[in-house]
Amino acid sequence: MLRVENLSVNYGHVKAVKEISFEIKSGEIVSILGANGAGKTSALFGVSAVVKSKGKVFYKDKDISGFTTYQRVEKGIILCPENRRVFSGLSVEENLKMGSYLRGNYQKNIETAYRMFPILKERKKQAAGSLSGGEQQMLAVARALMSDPELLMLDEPSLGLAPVIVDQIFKALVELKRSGMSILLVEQNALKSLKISDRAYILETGRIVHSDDAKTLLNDEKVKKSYLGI
Amino acid sequence: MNMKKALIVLIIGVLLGVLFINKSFLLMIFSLVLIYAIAATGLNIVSGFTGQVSIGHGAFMAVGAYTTAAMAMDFGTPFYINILAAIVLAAFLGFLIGLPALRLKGFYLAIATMAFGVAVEQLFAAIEHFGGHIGMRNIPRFFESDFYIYLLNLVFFVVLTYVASLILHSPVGEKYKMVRDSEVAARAYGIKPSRIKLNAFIVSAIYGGIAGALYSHTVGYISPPDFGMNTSLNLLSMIVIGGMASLEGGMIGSIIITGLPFLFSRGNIPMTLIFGALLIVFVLFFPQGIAYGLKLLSMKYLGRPWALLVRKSWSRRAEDGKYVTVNGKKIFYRQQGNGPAIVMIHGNFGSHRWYEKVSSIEGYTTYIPDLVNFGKSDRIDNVSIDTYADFVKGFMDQLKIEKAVVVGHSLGGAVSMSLAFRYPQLVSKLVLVDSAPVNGLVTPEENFPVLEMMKGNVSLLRNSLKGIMPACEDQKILSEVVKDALLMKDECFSENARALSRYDYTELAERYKNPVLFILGKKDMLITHDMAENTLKNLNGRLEVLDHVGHSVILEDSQLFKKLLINFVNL
Amino acid sequence: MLILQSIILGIPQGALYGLMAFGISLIFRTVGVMNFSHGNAGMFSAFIALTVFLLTQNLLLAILCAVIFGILLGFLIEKFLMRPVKHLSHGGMLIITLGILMILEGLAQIIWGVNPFSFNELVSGPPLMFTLGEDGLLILPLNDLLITVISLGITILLAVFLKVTKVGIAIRARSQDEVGSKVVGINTNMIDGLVWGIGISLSALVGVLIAPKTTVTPTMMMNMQLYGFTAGVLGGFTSLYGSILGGIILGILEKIVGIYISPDYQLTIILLIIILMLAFKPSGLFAKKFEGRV
Repeated sequence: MLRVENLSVNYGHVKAVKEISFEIKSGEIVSILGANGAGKTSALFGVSAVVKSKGKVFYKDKDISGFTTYQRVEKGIILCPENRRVFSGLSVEENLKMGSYLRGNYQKNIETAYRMFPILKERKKQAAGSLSGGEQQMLAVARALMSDPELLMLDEPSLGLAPVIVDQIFKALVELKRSGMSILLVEQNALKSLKISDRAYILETGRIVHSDDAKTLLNDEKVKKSYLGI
Repeated sequence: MNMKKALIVLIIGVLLGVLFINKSFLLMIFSLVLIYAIAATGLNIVSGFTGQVSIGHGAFMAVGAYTTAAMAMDFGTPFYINILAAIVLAAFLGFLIGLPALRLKGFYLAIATMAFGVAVEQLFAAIEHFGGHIGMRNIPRFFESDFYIYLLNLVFFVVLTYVASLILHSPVGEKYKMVRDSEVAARAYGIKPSRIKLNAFIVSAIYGGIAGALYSHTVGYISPPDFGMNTSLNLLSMIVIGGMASLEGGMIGSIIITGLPFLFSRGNIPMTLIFGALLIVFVLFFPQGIAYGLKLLSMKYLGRPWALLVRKSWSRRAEDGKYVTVNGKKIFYRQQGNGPAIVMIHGNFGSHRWYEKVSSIEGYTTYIPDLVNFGKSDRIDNVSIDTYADFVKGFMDQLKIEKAVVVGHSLGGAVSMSLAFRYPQLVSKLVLVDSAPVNGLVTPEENFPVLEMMKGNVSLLRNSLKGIMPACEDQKILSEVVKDALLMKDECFSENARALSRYDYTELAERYKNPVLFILGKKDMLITHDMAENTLKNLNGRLEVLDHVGHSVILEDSQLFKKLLINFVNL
Repeated sequence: MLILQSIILGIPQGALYGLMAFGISLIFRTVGVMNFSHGNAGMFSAFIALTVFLLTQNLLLAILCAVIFGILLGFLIEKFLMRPVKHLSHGGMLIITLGILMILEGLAQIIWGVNPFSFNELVSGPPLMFTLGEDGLLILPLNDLLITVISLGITILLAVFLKVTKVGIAIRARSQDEVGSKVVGINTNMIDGLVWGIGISLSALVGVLIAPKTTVTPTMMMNMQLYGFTAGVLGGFTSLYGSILGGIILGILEKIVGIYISPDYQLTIILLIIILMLAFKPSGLFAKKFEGRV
């Protein structure tokens, strides 16, 4: 579904991502794991063209390397970025409306979103900035889902959240996969994400140092110890 | 700017004045250029060096100009008293406008200073006593003669520029720059950004005030628009075009902004159009201004003839040594002593001379070549570490050296690793002296322009080489290896550094089982401890760290190196 | 009585200041640039209106052309000048807008010269008069009334646009989080261009509305821009509606200073207000805390 070849992301002279290649097949959950500063966020930014990058990105075998972010969104490649990035001064409802700015049926999807995260319905008139961290994260995920993603990329969806909410979000991801969505998951919580993933790539200082089936990785003591810290 | 430079500028200025002594119109323009250069230098202190963009600096000139003019005309006090008053008032005003600056940044500060500039202009226009919108006329000029007026302005300019350079190089000046670069970091060093900004505003205001006072008595009449928005914008244009944060920037900008209009005086193109366009072009394409460009140019080209000359005469000099032909290329080398072979390979920018002081090892024959593309050896096209190593192998084959201890320094370390790992039978022991690491050495992209510049700039080259051998005290050998470095093939100034990033012998290294000694200077700024350890990871080796030397122990403490080498080879 | 009259005369003037500030704030909030060429962009548009009017004698068409030109000019400035430096430096952006300010002034001088042109009012006719009590007489020129109505009308229109339309919400979203707005599929470059266009068209509108009073000259908007900044500072640049309110307060204040102190000191005093406000309450009169972009 998505194939990335030799993707590099530089910030000035700092090389955040160094010629990495990876792939997500249709209907898969793929994790990118790695420590802080390994280049995970930059890799996602590269895939969705939020920052400039070198290398090729193919989506459904079509070269989309020259596409801007919104053109990629149009194709159904949706990023739910790190630190939520909700529009704090806009109401919850307006945030969700922006989620379906380019794609997705607002009327239909908002029902789904509210069903998935009922708390958002209660707060729909409230400014997003006044929500708690967990609620904002739900809003960010819900906003991403508003556009009917074909490929959903989530950057640290569990960051700073209570375990109950993390479970809730991961359960939602499994459901989404069942409905046919492909998911690229970036997480520091390696154990949790491997459990729901099909495959995973391990990133270290901008390079992919290991990749395998999630199950194999979960049983590989050496990998777990040296890269995942579990 | 040091005292010497100040004097040179002064002399050139005087000569220029003498040259045009009868052209009072030109002298007048020169005076104006100097006056605006003073004001622009002041603006540069607060905007360029301290990072607080101000677009109301004309106001300080206004205060200086009106103060001295009014005092001279109302009380008849002499200029030196008037200018003191002007300085005090300008400083006070600088303090006032500096106050909001304590809390404001960027755009907000720009609005405040702009409002301030216009407010002062309007204020003077509203005061009857100062002639309202018409301004003041018949202000006594300094002298009858435009030449003397010019000289006085020149002296003020030189002295004030000198003072500015003193301030900027003083601890306070350093703090300006820290505040500009990062207030957070500055705070971490215990600096109070607000106090520093206020300080910069006051200094800058004083410069503006003095410039205004000079203007009054140079031109003889003043009116509010002389120091209004346009003047403030022109001052800003001067430092942007001339060079933000450059002492020369104000002067260069003033020559262009003050001088240019006289070139166009017959045309109909309004100056604002040209200056505005210049401003945008400079911000977009030359954000560092003309001063930086000139510096770069002189670094690149001014020293070039000299470098060529040095290189030419040095290459002609007869050198005590022999040649051997490998693959059709002549390789220069020196050979000394009797016994088993030690081959010593120099680094980037190097030559056989680097090993001159360690070439006699009792009981051994030392072979010290100039690598191809270096020194007196021939040039080849393909610049890569493996190619260099292949030539060393050819060199050893030709001289029938079947096995040798190989010493490699820096880039030579990489070459000897390539040799040892690919032809283990040739290398009985390996000595790596501050060697490039086993997985390649990446030179940051921004350093390449500097490497290129070294070709044409002997003193830059000398300083750089000196920097990698901090403990070397032998000036003679230093100047010789600098000249040797110039003999390197032109392209290699960059290409060698690139070649160093293009290899990775991590896996090959496992094939080499013989002993390895890695000598690392603790003050080495190129090779880190981690790199050295990483290099030895797959090798049968030992790391020797020397506290007192940098990148080049062979020149910095040759006796110690010799001792280490002899111990290692005799082991 | 006098004070009431100053208020009545101050409101139309202040409404224009508010409109000016609204445009500046809109650009600042969304794109993060304080536009120092705002006034001159309006001035240039007023010259376009003048030219169209001289050719067609149709005032409404002239004003329409000015506004459309303003939108175009905004788009062009964003695309060719601001976009290349968008993420580089605030100083760079600031200096570029100053460069535009100078270029527009110079261009206007070349094309139309420095002599003032007169410009027609929207409506002429005897002013409205109200008698109040025994001998009180309040005067309200018709044109001023119309200016107020137009300014407030446009403000309300824009407020509605920003509040309910998809693009309007997208503009607000963009102003709050650039990355966030990109990943939901908002074409931020297009939004930025649009915001520049709207902002400058407001200045164009102010230009043609004030032109009958100032005449049309290359420097006609210099003070207007300063007042716009002041209104923005009073209102707090981060609040769009604060700008309008700030403008009206400023307009009234200006008249009061003019009547009670001296017209000579009007600008100076107003500018002192800016500096004092910035020094002591940079968030504006209405905001609780200072959260401005730098």
